[in-house]
This record gives sequence, C-alpha cells and structure tokens, in this order.
Amino acid sequence: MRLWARMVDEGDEFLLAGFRERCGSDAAAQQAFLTWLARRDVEGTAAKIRMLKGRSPRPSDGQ
Amino acid sequence: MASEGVLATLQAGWQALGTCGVERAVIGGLALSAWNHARYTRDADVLIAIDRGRIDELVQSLTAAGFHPRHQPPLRWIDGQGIIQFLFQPDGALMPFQFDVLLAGSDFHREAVARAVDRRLPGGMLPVRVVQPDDLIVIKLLAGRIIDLADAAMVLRENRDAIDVSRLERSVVELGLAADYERIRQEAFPGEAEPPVSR
Repeated sequence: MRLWARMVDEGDEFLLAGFRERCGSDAAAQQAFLTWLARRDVEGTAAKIRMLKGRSPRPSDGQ
Repeated sequence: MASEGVLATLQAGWQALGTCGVERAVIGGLALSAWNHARYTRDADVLIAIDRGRIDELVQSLTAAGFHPRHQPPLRWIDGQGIIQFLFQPDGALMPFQFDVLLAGSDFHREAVARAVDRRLPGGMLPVRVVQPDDLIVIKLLAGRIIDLADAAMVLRENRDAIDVSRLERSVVELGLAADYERIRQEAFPGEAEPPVSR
C-alpha cells in the first residue's frame, strides 16, 4: 500500500507538472487534469459495467 | 496528498455504507494494492449486495456524510447493471475524489462480497473488507481491458500461496473466462505448464 500511495502522489505531481507546462497556469493545469480524469472515467465506468455484466461461456472456455 | 484523499474518501464512504448495514467489499485499484500490486488509481470502488428497495436509504446515508451523486437520479442502470457514482472532497483536498458503488447482480458477485476478508489499509484506517485475490482476478478478467488482464496476472503472481486455485478455475470456466485465464496464467508464470499452486 505504501508503494501505491507514492505512485498516486507522485503520479499526480507528474501529471500536474505536465499540464502546467502545456497550459501555463496552475488553474488551467488543474482544469486540464480534471478533464483528463473525466475522460479516463468514461473508460473506467465502461470497464466496471463489463465487469458486472459478465459474458456467456464460449466453446474455448471449456464448456 | 492525493493518496490520503483517496483513503479518506474510502473510509468515509465505507462508514456511511456501514450505517445502512450494507454488505460490501473493496474492489478496483485499492483492492489491487491490498493484494500486493500497486498501480495509479484515484478512485475508490466498492461492490455491494443490497436489496434494490434500499438504494434511496444508501444514497441518503452517503449524502449525509458529504458525498455528492455525480448523476441524477443517482442510480444508473447501464446494460442492466447498477452503478452509483459519488464525488467526495475530504477536508483540505484541492479536488474531489470519486467513490463508485457497484451493485452485485450475479451469484458470483454476491459471493465475492460475502467471502471478502478484512484488510487494514494505511493511514490509521479501520479495517475494510476486500475481495479475495481469486475473486479479484475474476473481476479483472471480466473487466477485460489490457490493463485489467495485466492486473490479473500480477495478482496471480504476487499471491500464489493465498489463492484458492480450485475456486478460481471453477469460476473462470463458469463465467466464460478460461481462455483469458490461461493467457494471464502463462504471463504470471512463464514456462510453468502446471497450475501455479498444487490443488
């Protein structure tokens, strides 16, 4: 878990530094970060729904 | 720090769900971390087993604890699956964190919640229940992205002595995941022809 905490904290700093370089100001970088998170969330939500829904076994799955 | 925010969000959400007596288990990136595989994730995901008639009570409990539903109505049904997504901003945090509540709809998901185990997360948190590593592998195989398959392989590799392989292999066949499981097993244990743990 400690490794995870470091990864999240340093990942955030890394991403924000990149957005700051691209956008110029802290406020714009934060907004760009939120937009990036929202885009990532769309993909994540779809994966969560797939996870809940499951799928039917196929012949290659041994049934 | 973002990690403290994620953990504070999980703790507050976990307690709010507890006031409703909801059976629940942590899944997602925090569960990966609890089973020795860390990757970047900023949200907290909880799988719950609940009667649909109690959803309003659940939403009220989380709202009272400072959580804001991301959608109205809060419960969304997508492809027949229920999900409630919240934002929570812990004290001192610059940005909110996401807390997703996923409704267990299948026997496998309900059983995964029921057999979850206590794990203590850092930051002085109370123990939370986390799905067992074999169930987490199945969950990741069901999610199905390349990153999920990589996660599944890592959980298998990092927890080989803790995994109930018989149950895992039964689940992957029943859920149509045997081909994907074999792929990640080979990734986790390259060159091993036999199953990773003796049965």
